[in-house]
Amino acid sequence: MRTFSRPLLFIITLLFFGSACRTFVVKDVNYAQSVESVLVPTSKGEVYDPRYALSFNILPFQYQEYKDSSKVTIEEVRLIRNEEGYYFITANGFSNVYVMEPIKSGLKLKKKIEVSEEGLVAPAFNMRAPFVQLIDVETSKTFNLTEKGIQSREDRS
Amino acid sequence: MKNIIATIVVILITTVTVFAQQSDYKIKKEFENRASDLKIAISESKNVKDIDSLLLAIDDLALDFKLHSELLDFGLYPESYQSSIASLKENARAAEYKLLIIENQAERLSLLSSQVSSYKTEIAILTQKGDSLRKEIMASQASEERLAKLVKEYRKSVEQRDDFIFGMIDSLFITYQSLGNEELRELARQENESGVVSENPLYLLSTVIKQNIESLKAESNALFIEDYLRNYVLQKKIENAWKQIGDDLILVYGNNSNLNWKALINEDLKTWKTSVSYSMWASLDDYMEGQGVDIGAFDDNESFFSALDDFITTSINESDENILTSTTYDDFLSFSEFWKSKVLDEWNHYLVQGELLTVNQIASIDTKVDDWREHSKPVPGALIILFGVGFVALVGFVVALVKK
Repeated sequence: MRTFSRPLLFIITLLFFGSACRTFVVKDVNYAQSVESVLVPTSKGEVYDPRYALSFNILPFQYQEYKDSSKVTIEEVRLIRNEEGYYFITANGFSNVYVMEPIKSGLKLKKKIEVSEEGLVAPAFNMRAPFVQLIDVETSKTFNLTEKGIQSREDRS
Repeated sequence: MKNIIATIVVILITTVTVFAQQSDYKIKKEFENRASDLKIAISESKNVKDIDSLLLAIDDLALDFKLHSELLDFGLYPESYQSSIASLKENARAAEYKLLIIENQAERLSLLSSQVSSYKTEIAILTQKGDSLRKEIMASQASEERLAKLVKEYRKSVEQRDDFIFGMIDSLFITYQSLGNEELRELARQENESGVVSENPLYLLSTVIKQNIESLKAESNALFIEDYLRNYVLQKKIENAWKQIGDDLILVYGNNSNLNWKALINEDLKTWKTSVSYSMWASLDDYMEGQGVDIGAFDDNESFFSALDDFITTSINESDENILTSTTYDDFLSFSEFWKSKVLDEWNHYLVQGELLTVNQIASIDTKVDDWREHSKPVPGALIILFGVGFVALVGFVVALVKK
């Protein structure tokens, strides 16, 4: 009986800690970025945010917008992260804001929000928790966004 | 009054509205740009007045963005709104302190510039006077008395000119040695930007060196050993000062010219040194020979000391061998007269400053001179007679004793 007691104890301990690790979750994390990041792509479309140590390629977004990723046409990429941790990405000329969910070594589209048929002229994100505010400085159009889509809009033009 | 209040309210509302329409990023960027512009303006400011205006501009910046301080605290991380404003004010105060020192130095330099200008005029007058006197001496058919008068006048004018140059070098040295690298760079910038051509000490230094080379070339036989010694010391002083402040002078005054000041002045100093060394050692040798003191060959400070030392050691030994004659004592008297009146008295200052003899070397020779005096003193004649009489008496006494 004594011969089996030690391995049994070991297995019980392992199961206990193993299950504890799987369920170890910290709630109410706020991922919100207070000020948007404005990133300039390289000739290969790479953008890098030194403050938040994030890098990705913008060409897939360009392809989504213009169906063309042969060369980089985007001058500046605007990016902000909301409280839930979703990235909101857009650029001059884009008609949409891309809500991206971070996954292992990637960004997965959560929602594509159409904000302008003719394309944004001078977009900018502001953090107005719980919303991400998108403004087009040129047209004075304002949108309050979440990862689910447009929550409200305002046209001050 | 109502109108003013209304205007202020309108401005405030407009400002809030403008900011409300802007992106947070743009507000952050605007703050960063204005802060950066102020930082550049501080670093480029030329006087304390500029800094005072910039301090007011920093206050304006702080006020304009106070409403967004929280946003800026996040946006400017690891800096913050407060730390950015504090950093700008600190920069402004540091620049103000630096400019206060520079303005003070600039005043001193301005004073020096006018001093250099007066030195320049004075040196030119004295050089001209010296040149004409030298020419007159060379061409003179006048009586010996008149010629001696001319030589005296010429030597006096050369001495006055040298004294002015000593003064000028001291002024330059004191002014520039106290300046730090940053202050010198700032002065150079101001000198280049002002467009005002201030008295350039580099030109004056170069002229002085060239004039001395020319004077030595135009040998007139009117100069004495004291004149050459003084000129040797002057060359050494200018050379030492040049080593220490030459780069600073070039930094401040050398940029407006294509001349390679460093190479030019270094080369001229070298020529001057060779020329004055040759004349000074030859003149010293001639003088000693004229005084009946022949210490052998020498042509630099080391060989001069060795010659003096060997001469006295040999003389002491010779004196021991000739105690009954006064020949070596006469040699001693000639040397002692030269040593005391010239080396210890008249030339001491030049010999030490020109590093021809060190203080220790002079003391060592002086001790040996005292030794020489003791060894060279001839035995008095009466003492010899007394010694002879005593000797004869002793012999007589011994003979008498033997006979008995």
